[in-house]
Amino acid sequence: MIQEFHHPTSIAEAVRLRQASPASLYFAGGTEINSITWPSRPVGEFVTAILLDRLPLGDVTTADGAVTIGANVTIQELVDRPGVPPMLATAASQFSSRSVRHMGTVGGNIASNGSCSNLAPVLLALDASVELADAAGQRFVPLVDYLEHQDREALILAFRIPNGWQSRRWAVQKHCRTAIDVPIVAIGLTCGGNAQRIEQPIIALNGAVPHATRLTALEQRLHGQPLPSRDEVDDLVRQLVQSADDLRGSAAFKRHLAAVMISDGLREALDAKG
Amino acid sequence: MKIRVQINGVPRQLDVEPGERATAVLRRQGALVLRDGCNGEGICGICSIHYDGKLVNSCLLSAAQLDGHSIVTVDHYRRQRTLSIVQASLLDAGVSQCGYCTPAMVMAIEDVLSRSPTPTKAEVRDGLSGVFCRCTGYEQYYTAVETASRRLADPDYVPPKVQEFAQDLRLVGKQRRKVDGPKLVRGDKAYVEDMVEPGSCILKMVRSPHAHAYIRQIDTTEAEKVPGVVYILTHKNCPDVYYNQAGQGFPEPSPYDRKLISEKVRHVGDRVAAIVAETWEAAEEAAAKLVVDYEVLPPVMTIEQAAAPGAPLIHNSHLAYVVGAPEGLEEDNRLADPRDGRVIYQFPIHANPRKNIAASVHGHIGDVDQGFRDADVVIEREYESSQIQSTSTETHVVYTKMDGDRLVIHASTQVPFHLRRIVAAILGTSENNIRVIKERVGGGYGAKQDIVLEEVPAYLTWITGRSIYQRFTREEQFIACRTRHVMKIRVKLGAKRDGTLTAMYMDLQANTGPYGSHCLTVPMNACSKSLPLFLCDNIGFNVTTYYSNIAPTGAYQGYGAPKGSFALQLAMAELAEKLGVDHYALVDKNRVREGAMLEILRCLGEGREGKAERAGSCGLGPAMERGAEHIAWGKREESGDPDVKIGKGFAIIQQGSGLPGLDSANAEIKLLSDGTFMLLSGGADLGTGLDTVTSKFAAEALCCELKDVAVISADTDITPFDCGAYASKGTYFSGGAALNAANALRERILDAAAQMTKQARDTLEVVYPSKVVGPSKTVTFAEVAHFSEAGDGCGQLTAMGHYTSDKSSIPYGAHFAQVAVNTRTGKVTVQKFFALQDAGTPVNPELALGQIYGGVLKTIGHSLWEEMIYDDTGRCLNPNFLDYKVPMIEDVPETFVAELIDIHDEHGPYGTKSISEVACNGAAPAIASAIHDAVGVWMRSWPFSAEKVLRALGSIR
Ligand SMILES: Cc1cc2nc3c(=O)[nH]c(=O)nc-3n(C[C@H](O)[C@H](O)[C@H](O)COP(=O)(O)OP(=O)(O)OC[C@H]3O[C@@H](n4cnc5c(N)ncnc54)[C@H](O)[C@@H]3O)c2cc1C
Ligand code: FES
Ligand code: FES
Repeated sequence: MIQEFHHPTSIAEAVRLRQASPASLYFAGGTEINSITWPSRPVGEFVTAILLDRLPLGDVTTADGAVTIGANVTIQELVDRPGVPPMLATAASQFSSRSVRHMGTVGGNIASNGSCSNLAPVLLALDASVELADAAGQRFVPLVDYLEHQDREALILAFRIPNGWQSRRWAVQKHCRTAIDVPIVAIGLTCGGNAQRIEQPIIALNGAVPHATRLTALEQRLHGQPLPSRDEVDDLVRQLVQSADDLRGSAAFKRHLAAVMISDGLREALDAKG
Repeated sequence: MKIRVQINGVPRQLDVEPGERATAVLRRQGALVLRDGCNGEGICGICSIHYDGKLVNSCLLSAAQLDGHSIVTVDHYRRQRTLSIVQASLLDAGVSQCGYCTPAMVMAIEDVLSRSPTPTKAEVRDGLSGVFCRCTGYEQYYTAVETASRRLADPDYVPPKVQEFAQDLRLVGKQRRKVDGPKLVRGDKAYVEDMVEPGSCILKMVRSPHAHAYIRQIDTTEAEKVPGVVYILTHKNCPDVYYNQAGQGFPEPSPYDRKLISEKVRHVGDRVAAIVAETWEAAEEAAAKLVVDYEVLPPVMTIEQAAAPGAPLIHNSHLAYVVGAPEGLEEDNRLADPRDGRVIYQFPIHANPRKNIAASVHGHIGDVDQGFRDADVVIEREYESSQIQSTSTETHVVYTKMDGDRLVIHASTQVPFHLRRIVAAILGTSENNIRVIKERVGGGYGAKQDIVLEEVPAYLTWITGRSIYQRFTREEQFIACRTRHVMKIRVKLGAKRDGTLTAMYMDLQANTGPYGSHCLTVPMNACSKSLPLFLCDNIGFNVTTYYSNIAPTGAYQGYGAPKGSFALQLAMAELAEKLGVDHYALVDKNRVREGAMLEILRCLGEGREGKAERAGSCGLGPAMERGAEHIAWGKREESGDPDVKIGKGFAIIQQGSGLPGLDSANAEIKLLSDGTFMLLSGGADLGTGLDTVTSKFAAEALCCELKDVAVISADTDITPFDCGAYASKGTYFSGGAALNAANALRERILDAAAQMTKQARDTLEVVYPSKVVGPSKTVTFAEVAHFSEAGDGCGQLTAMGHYTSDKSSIPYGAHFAQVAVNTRTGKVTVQKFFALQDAGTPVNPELALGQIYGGVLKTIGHSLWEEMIYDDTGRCLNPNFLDYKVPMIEDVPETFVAELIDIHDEHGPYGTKSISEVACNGAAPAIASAIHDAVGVWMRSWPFSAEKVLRALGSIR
């Protein structure tokens, strides 16, 4: 049970507070921290919460084609604000309910780093990097590395989507049972080129895996190649995805979904459907 | 910590616990209507507020997050007693049923309109996406928002009315605001939780972690020492009284197979100890100090496990019969284990607990075997359905207190009078020592037909004198409440080449779980509300219900019929395929018609002799025709995407209107001094609009305005006996009683007026508005009241009305679904749904439509997503809204249409029949046959999840 809340107004103060207590956590919208069932909610004995809402992390800015999105930007703002890449806005609009979108932030979403974020694969596919702050200072790390080797003590300040996203093709899909649900599979993919020759695809997946992941082996297999048949892509993905049975479905089902969503996503992105 | 927050425009400085939720803080500040539907999962949105102008779930906000922010609760929109535009528009659309979600909906709609004063349908859907409403099916919220939006621009805007009925009547069949509506949309005190007085104790039920076990030892010593603990009830100190929790008419067909707390636990979540304490913290501490030693037994979870030879027995009990004890009972009882306690049957229900059989029944008409021999085509199929929960937004809740030496129970119940009877028996006192007040019910749907929690706090208040509040968590609502019986139904149909049915047979196995609530009647209803839809000379059925260790089952809207209907209607679709004929044509050829003799009802008499009946008014023909027209039956649709196939399906449905010969209802009506009326109805309004029905009947019969009738209902001290709200009896029985009372009072008014005006009694007439007209003189009701109440008058004019019936006016309907099946992902999307129903004369047409939308959407949920899942030890893995998926507004079919067929019933009061339950019977078979039409696979097991569809298609193994 959280016993004290701090309301830092500077990043340095927030970082200092976090360093001061191992039983502390950053607290953004609180939609995961406070939900009694959301699967990726932080578990553990947290005594101190460091509220982030007074930090200057709420902007969406564009410079030289790159987009920087502050960690405190809410999911609903991703839908509404100009400047957010349409792919990310689409994923945000597929995020369950407006009531949660109003409070939940993009920083909290990525920091919880569980299988149920439908934004993480999209930010991966946009080749985002994440700006972090900790006692050592501020730095950018590729999102893919952050998710793989998460430093839970680091404060996420922002996400930077590099220039180039404008010309890439993309697809976003989320499969869940009802509208407010943990995604069974969520995908985000981008690529250059066309169906005859795919350039530098980024294919990311969540839901069926413990946290959002890029399917780099598939990306390499597709780069510079024409789009293979659906069956071929389906098979490739099935081989790459390890999943586990749970309430929402069997591992076989999730692998299948991942496969068809990625291969259909590729066709959609490359206008090669039908 | 100290926070500064602006609440409804007023700056406040508050002392809060840092970790507590905003919901609790705001409640302490008097924001009553911050209700709780999911205990803080963040899914139901029932706790919605505006936070800096944005809709959020207050349960997901910590108190500290309020600091420096501005909060608006629904209280802000409550200006004196005047309704806000949004509140009034919700009422006009008839979309506040139980009303528990309504304040949250008000907040959501205000949020939508603040962003977009003339919102599109997509904007409304998006804006309301976070608020769960189980009653209404959401469709009429679009109308409410449209009305509100137009009124914002033009306060005098009058919305178009829905189709009205019964041209010769003033009120019946006409759209009028629900009489209890203003209270609900304003968010006034209305529910049990609003009645709890400061200083009351709480009750925490310690529940079994095991599905099947004996309690070897239970030690309460340390727990009792916890300061603030008032009393701990266990099997050792609980009364030795057996009863059943089913709220059925006495003598009940459900076996008396439980005590308040038993020595044996029979499901995960079964009662082990009830702790009454002054604070929740004390109760929790005491629970942690309770020492329980279990002898764990193997759990029995499925019908197959229960029926297996040598299966562990759930009730290896001593058996007794009030009447009709079978031969050899004494011998049989030697096998009983005393730790299993007793089972008492009021009359035989063909149970055999030594084989885990809780009840059984079979019957037939004609010669079923010969019927199958005469058939050219015979099919035999098995259908399965999962365990589902009704998920009312308000969980089960009760508040008990003493008033002098009398016990008062504030209950959220469908059966206040059965509750009083059952509690009196447990307490060993008489009924006149107990008062049950049914408060507004935040969703009942059958699950509140049972005495699921009330008897324990009632008993504990009775012995301790303390006021006690108990409220189920959402988890308890799943594991310790009521769910629909799991069923496996084998259907065999025989037909001639031309489609004429020659024989029908249903073999039904049901899983009742740990106790026998409704164990005979729910499964039987699966037959009695499906077989009579088809005319066939040879019909048979066989029902066997098994005990097991799944969570308790019982009544739920539809009462078994949705499952029977799924099996039989889908089997008809399969038969059509086998015969190579159109499904619609096959159904139309064999379906029931007005005047047909329903012989099969002879064998289906709810634990007693049934009676063949002639089918009365029947709107099936027009319902099928209208539905076929709406959906363009027979026309193949293309999705434009080769992976997405579209199909259409339909089903016909029926229910009953109460239980003829079993049910009864009473009402009393009084003429007040100013010529208005006070109606005392025994009927329990669950949000269905029953109080509006009874008031309308009275006002119609007494030729007065609706506002001239005030109604008090379902208070056992004040209102006369009524069986309760179940079996779709409200309008028919409770409405009938109110009408009979009003008619009787009209006679008394005429008597008094004749005496007063000295005109011949038979020359007088009661005429609208509120007067008695005679050849020479007209008097108002107020004058008649004054005359009768005077010192030399005849006394206040009052009358009783009683209603029973031996007729079963059957409501019929036809439901049509169009689905899109994605053959790659297995996802089934219901694109269109048309529900055509015959309710006789719909008394409140807009509320009747709401009942249909709500029933249908629940069943779409059951068909596609809802299912309780267990592990091998008997633990339910998804007792919450994250994992048990209920439909939200974004899950509603894009085209969703409910329509009422205009038909008058010759028996029902003002030509009415029932409406609510029947709506649950069509979606599963209609969707399953549509899936078959789309992709050629028969989904014989619901829910039709994407994974099951893919398996049926062979895409995954
Ligand atoms: C009903 C419901 C529905 C949901 N639906 C979806 C959905 O459809 N898709 C989806 O992806 N998610 C969903 N979520 C999950 C959640 O709402 C989102 O992930 C949300 O974006 C989390 O943001 P937050 O600001 O509320 O995080 P918080 O709850 O404040 O924090 C979550 C975690 O992130 C950490 N954290 C927060 N901010 C930072 C930061 N700047 N730096 C470092 N660590 C930080 C916290 O310490 C905590 O561990 C849902 C949750 C609920 C309750
Ligand atoms: S109680 Fe807050 S969302 Fe359910
Ligand atoms: S009216 Fe919405 S839950 Fe009852």
